Amino acid sequence: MTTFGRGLRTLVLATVLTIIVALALVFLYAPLDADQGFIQKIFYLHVPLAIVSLCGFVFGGLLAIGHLRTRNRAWDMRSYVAIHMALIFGVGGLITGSIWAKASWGHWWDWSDPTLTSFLIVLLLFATYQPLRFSIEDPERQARYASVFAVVSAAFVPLNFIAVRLAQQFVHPRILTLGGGNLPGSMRLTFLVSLLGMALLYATLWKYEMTAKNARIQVRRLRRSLLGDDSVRPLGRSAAPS
Amino acid sequence: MPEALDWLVGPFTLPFMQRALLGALGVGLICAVIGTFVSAIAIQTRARDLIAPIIGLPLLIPALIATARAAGPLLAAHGSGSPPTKWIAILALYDVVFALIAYAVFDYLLED
Repeated sequence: MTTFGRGLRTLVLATVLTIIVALALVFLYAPLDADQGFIQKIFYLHVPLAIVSLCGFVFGGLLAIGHLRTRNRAWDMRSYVAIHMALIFGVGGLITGSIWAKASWGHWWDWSDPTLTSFLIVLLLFATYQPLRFSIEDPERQARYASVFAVVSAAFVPLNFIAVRLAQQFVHPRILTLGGGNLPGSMRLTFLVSLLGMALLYATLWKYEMTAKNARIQVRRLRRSLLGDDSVRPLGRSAAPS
Repeated sequence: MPEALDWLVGPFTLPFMQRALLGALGVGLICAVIGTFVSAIAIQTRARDLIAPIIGLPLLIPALIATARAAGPLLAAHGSGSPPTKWIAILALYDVVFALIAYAVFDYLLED
């Protein structure tokens, strides 16, 4: 029998510490933006959320490749949880981005900005992951089709990113350029620590949900073997792997 | 009889028509690839008439944007020009990547 929560405590502690440090840096160390003032601080929340969300989608696709290659349902569950968490982060990124846009550009949404629109497209694409799973009844086929969808959609993320970079419209600030961007050093450090904190938060939540799901399955299996088949209610149709 | 076919072939001697043809081929190919892929997924689902468009539309939107941007200069009222290489290149990139990925994963969709 495996223990699913191994390393979870360390991960949680590291996450909490990094986020505390990041918040301290954001509010005490990073300078106020000369142009935008205090509202610019949301940058340290919005950009890491968006980046971690996009990386989470790609991560889900990579895990789905594992499922297609090995046919092991555990990989499907990992991929499902990764995409599920990335969706939540993506919605957070969209909301914080809207708040920032309202404060800095004067309107909540700008359709002419390719970065915003392409992020929305990616989010909407991955929002169809759950309906797709839900509409396939056979669990084996559900896992296989969802994995295929995750692989294709994960490839869609960097493609979309390249297209946006080529589109070159400089309403949206560019942060992670190869030349180091136009951030001063203190802001850059704060940003990187925030990004690390957000990535750790994603990893923690991913591991936490995996642990919970695995524990629930284990409990179900134990109940069935100890108390008989009638003791567990049959699983209904579900989008989640079981 | 080269003169008789001139109305058909003649326009494609112009560079901007060649580019427009490339763009049309690019968008045609991506629609075929994504359409087939999405149909192969959706055919096994319960709500197949709903699943196909909601997956297909986001996958197609970047290609459609690139096509529209490529075709824009052709239709401009004043100072019309040739479709920009950049957008045709983006279309070609979409084509190549999605055709390869769809080919790679297609076996998993049809194996039962």
